[in-house]
Amino acid sequence: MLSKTFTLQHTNNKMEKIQELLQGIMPHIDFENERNLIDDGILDSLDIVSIISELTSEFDIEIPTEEITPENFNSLQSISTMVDRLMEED
Amino acid sequence: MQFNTIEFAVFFLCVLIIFYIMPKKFRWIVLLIASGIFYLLAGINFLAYLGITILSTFAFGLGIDHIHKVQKVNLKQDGLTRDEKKHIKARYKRNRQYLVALNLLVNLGLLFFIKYFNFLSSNFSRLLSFAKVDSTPLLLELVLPLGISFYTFQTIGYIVDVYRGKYAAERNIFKFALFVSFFPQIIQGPIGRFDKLSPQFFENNEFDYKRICYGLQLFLWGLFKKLVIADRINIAVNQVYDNWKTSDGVSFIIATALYSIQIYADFSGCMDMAGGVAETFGVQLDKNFDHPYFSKTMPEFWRRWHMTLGTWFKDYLFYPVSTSKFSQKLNKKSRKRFGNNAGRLIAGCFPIFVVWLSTGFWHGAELKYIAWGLFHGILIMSSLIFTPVNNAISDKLHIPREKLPFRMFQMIRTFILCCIGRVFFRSPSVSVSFTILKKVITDVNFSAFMKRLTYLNMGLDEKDWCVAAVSILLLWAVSLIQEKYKVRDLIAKRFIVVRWIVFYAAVFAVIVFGIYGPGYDASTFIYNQF
Amino acid sequence: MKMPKHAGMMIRILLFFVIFLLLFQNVSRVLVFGEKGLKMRIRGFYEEPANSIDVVFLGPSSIYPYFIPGLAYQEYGLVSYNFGIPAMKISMIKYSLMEVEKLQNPDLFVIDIRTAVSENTELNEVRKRRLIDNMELGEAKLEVIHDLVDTEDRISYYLGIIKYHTRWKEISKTDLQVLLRKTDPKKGFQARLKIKPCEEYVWTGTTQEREALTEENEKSLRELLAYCKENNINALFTASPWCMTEQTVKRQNSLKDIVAEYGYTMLDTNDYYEEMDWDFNTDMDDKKHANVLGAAKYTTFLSDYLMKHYDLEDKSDDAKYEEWNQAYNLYLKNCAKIKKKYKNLKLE
Repeated sequence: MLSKTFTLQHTNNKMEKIQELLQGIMPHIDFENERNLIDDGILDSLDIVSIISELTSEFDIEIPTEEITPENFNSLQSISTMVDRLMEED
Repeated sequence: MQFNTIEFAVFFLCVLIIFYIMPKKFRWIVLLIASGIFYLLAGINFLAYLGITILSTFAFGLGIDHIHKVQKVNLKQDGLTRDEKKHIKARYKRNRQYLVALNLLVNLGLLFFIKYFNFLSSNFSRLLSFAKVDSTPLLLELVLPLGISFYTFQTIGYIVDVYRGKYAAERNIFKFALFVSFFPQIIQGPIGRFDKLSPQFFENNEFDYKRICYGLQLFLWGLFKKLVIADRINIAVNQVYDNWKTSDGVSFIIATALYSIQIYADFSGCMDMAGGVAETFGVQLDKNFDHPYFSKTMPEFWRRWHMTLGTWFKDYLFYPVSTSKFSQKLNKKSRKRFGNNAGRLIAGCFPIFVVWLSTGFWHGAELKYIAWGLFHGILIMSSLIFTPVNNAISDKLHIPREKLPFRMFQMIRTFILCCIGRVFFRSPSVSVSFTILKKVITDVNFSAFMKRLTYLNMGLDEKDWCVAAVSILLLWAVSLIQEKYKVRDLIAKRFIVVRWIVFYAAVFAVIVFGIYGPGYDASTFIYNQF
Repeated sequence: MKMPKHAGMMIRILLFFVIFLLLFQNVSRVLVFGEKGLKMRIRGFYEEPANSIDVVFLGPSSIYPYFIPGLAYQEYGLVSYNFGIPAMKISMIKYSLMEVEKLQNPDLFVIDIRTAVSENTELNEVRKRRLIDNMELGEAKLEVIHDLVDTEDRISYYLGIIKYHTRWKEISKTDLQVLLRKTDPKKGFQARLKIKPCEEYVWTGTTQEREALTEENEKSLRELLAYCKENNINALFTASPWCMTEQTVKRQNSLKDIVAEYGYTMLDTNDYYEEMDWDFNTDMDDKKHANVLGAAKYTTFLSDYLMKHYDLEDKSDDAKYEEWNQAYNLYLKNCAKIKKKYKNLKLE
């Protein structure tokens, strides 16, 4: 029980951290609410590259090209989920 | 065999009939045999090149899959530490990378050699001559196999996808051969992705009258674009560009704008023909064009023009390059130094220019294509840099960007920028391109234009110009409708008489107004009086 | 459940194609072939009621500027038609004969062969197309394409629209009349309205000597004669009046011999200048072709000959041939034109 809460908190902290990172490099984008960052063209390919650069150095993961999909990058939540997954796989 | 020939019509009809006579599970074999025959008719030597690519990619695909399996088995062992696991993964990844590299060596190497050997050789000679070393370039008589640029990219996409674990490798060599050689798309694309294209050969191929009709209608529309519009304008464009020394600025303005329309009508027309043929067999090819001349910015243009090439370069060159360790370091340093916005743009230059140089180079083994690619790379960068600036300015000036006038301005601007690029694409060389661009500004003969001499000297008479103008207007109107609706659905809803009138009109427009055939010259008859 | 569903679809497909073929045939009618006079002459012939014409004239331009079907009908009630094609080579006459035979089965063919005395000319694309492109699809057309056209070129002969579709820019009244399946009001006659004095070009001597024709021409002529004989064709061979040289005369003498070998008669109208009252200074449009004045003389002479020597009906006052009366009126108009043009010559 305790570990579950810990994991949840941990996840939420990570998502906050990611939000902080992203907001830092792209202050004008509303990461909290947007759900279609890729599909609506809010993020272009250079933005994605910058995001990947930040995430890989911050969380010590590798984000290979096949992870660059709308499913993974359309919202803050999905980005966070992806980071979690990649951290675990490592 | 080109799509706009009687031989192809006969071939296609035969294949279509045999396809639907066969029981469903053998239908893909019909497509495979048809593709083989189709390619054979292009020359038996070429079949060997295609065969090498098919066999090597198939084999390497299986090899990579095998390594995936072995890796999985090894990772399941008990008692492995995290580090050991990492080590195993890295080792097998390296092995997979070797296979991919080998495959690229064979297939990309083949493409490179056949397509670019002479170019590299002659430029090497030129370099030597700069160093005052005389040499004659070694030139080989190399003929390009049909569609090699397209099917090579398609197979590279496949092998990289298998390497990335996106899907398992195909285990049936014949099914794989069909994916590579499917005849509607082998000549000019679209460049397909295996997971999207291959399943379609084996499912949804039951006889569907409506789908077959739709496919034939699409084919007809493509034929119209190619034969009535593109090949007609081609005459005028050739007249001006082949005689570039004597053509004046106004002629170049007209011819270049026309060339932009021509190349769209030609390429998208061929894509419609390919798509229409494929549709009759129950295969949906990827879209390659989305009315690119309605684009408001250059990046948008490249999301609408030759889309499958764009996404190919994005997935297999841009992202790998820009997420590489070198590029990421550059990105981080750049953002630290110049701030996030400027930094990411500056770091972005590197992968963008790699992609655009490659795009240019892919189009042909000539300096002018590289120049064209570079030009568009610069335009993309400029767009990324200036768009926020422009937006700020127009905000200050209270210009409504969403309203039609501004959007029209953006579309025209994009079109003009495209046209400038087209000059490089169409001219015989880069130096001639600059001469032409200079002429457009300096050598403008308005009086000849006003006397109608300009456009009457382009090889088309007034009646041809009328047909060109009307058909281009029709193309524009249909494109507008297509932005919102599916035209074939709109037609299908109409009363049968109306539908058939439309189809007959289209068919006879192609038969009567199409540019084909030996041509008729009344004067040859006059000189044969007695 | 499957049968009726598919039946409806099959009917639609069939109907679509049938209508397409009809449209295609008519579009081809309008666009295929560009020489108006010739198109009307040959296409109009197909519209004549079957087996209604008694005498058909075959040959190159030594035929249709010379014989006036309207005048022949007016004077003798002779129902005739000029199936003539410019610059037609002897080797091609056979095919036009086959086609006419099938459509009209005339009592008599009059075939002008004076062209056989000329030097060899090329059977080029224009000469082939003048006949082939105006023929309707059938056995004769397929045979002539197979015999005369190289395999790789054939498709544009089978489907003339491949070559002629660019004629959309120059559609004329003739094209529309062919579309409406009209007959030729002139019945194949081509009125020439120039007077060119040619007497100086005529060799005034006489000789019975023979000179051989060119090998190619003789071969073609013999093939034609053999074909006629084999198929029991009732034919009269002619040579219309023209400015002959000594060589031409000698060769034309040979012609008579060759024709006789196959049991046919040759009427060389050049032996009958006096009987025709032929005047090389008023009756010629140029050295090789008569004008409408000369044509009148020729028609009267030849019609008289035909009525005397062949079993041909006088069909004047037959309502079926009203169009031949119209053809006569057109001829009168042409006469008036030429007389007006050359007022100073005081022609009657």
